[in-house]
Amino acid sequence: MASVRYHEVVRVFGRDQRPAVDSLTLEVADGEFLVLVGPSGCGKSTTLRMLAGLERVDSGSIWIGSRDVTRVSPKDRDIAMVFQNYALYPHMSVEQNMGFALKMGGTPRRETKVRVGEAAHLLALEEFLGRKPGSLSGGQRQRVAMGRAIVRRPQVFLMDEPLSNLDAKLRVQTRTEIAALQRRLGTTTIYVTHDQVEAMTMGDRVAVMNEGRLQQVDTPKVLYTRPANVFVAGFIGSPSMNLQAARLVDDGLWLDGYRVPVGRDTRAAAADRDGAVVVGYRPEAVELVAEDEPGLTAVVEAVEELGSDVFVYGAFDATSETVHAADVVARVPVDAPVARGKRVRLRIKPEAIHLFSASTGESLG
Amino acid sequence: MRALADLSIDAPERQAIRSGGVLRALRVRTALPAAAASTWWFVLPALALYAFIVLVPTVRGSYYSFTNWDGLNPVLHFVGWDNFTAIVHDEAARGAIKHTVLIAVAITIIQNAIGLLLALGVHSQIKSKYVLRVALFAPAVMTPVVIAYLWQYLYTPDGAINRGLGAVGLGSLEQGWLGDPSLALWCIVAVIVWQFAGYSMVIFLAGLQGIPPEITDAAAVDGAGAFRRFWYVTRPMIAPAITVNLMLSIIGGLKLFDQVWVLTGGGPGYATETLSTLIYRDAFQFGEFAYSTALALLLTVFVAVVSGAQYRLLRRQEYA
Repeated sequence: MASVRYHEVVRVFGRDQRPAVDSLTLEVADGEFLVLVGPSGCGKSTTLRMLAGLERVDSGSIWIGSRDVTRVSPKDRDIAMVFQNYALYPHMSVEQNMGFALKMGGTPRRETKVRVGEAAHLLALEEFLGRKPGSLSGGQRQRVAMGRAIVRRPQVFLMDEPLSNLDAKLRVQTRTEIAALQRRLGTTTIYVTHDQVEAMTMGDRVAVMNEGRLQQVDTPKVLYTRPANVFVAGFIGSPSMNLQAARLVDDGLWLDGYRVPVGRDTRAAAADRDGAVVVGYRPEAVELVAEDEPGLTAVVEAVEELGSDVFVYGAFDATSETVHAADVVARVPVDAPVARGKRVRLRIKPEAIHLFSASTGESLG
Repeated sequence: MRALADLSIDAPERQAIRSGGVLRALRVRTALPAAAASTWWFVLPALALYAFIVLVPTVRGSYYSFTNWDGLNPVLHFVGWDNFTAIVHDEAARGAIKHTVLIAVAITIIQNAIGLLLALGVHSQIKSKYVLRVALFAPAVMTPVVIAYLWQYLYTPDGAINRGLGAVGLGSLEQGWLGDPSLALWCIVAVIVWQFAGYSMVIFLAGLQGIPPEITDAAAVDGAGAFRRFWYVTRPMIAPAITVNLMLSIIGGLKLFDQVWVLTGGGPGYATETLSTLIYRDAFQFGEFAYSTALALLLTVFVAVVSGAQYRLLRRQEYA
């Protein structure tokens, strides 16, 4: 087991102007479970593939433990990888698939058999050892791919969206199993996903990427409560954070009839564009209030009842001077009197407001 | 064009392909019992043509090989195995069988080895891969007879090959290529390989393109270097392409005619005589029709047996 370090890593594909991965610096501690998350094309898979040695590094360096592996071939990196479509060898049995890396590494046949047996036991695959991947279900194939990785006892596990080909229920179950397995084995793991729920539930820390750049890396809780910029704020959380352009006035943020107190430093930081800011608040930071109380009026466009939660999707009246017309999502109590087409009064909890610079998108603290 | 000839007319090949079902891709499950009666009507014209061009001549040819038919006299006498006994005692026929087998084996090995290397080369990330694919395949779409004439010209004692050797100071290697009994056969093999290695390449390439890149990536991460990735992962996964290629080239090699006829006419002496050229010569130059149909039947059976055995052997390597 070992730590992993990316230092100023850049990867540019072909004649692209914008790098797929742009001066990435990231450290993953020994034994840590780090999730790389971001939208399609954000560079997360490229980041993982560079660590595997399957993708060239244009500049910068990658370290596994104290070893610079930037130019080391994949076979000599002592890593194991689980691919999105599992990439099982179709002509080999489950046992041969799981034992392939050991065979390549020159492990004696008897020891290979023992280790494959152990992994198969751990993943409940014993009865399938003689079968070919073609005759297995998606979930079983996924477990074989996991088994092929853990048999190796590698320094690092790399997982590239390993659950995206499973159905919703199996995905939730396998998610927990993988996280538990990782904790049990204690192997440093880097896990790529575009699913922020997976990221939040599995990772010790989560690295959010967008357009080739690392946006923020921290624990799931910090990402949720203190997003570093507008992108992270909007990406983490479901439904996502409400974000709208607003303006700082006097000593606070004026939101259609009531004032949100804002610190002096924040105001100073936002002063670059006459106090133009992006205000963000999560659906749970919005509450229904009576018609005559201070707040914002919105027309309900849709109501999503999830059983434990009810989310109201609404549109603000475009009459306000300080708040621009925007969609709003609010989490309301299950018994709240909301219906499509109805007007509701919403109050945003001042303590739960996030402010971001309108020009850079960075958090204003 | 051998490419099409392989798939269209010759009786021995048809038998081989039918017996083995070489082109697995074409084998589609179309079990439509209700429509079966009417579908036969659609097949009938093709079937009639096939019977007229292939089945009837094959059966009649087989019959003639047991007679003394001279191609003219309508009165035939059944002679039993006489023609076949004559083949066994005919030195020219024994030589032709030897040359035929030698050419077929040499072509199969060399053409496929080069074709596979070319396919691996143009399957990689190199920039000019599309241009190379077209360039390497181009000889395969040319008419074999034309190619053979071109090469015959290159092979002449004062032809381009000898002059090229002389120009680079290798004048000592100049040969009378097609005139040398020990070289002529290999000169023919070289022409065939030159023309059809690109054809094998295309089939291998189709196989290689069917392998998801993640699988070779997985093998690389699993600790396999380039050679072991090929041996343990790529090779088994292109086994169907290997089967098709080996079958086509061995069949093509066994029935080789045009190029031999143009390049050497079976000579010098009988040094490059193959079964096909011998059959042609005996029938149309010497009028030994019965004898040559016996040779043709022998070739047909030989091709069917060899390709059938080869197919069974190769199918075992395929996983699906």
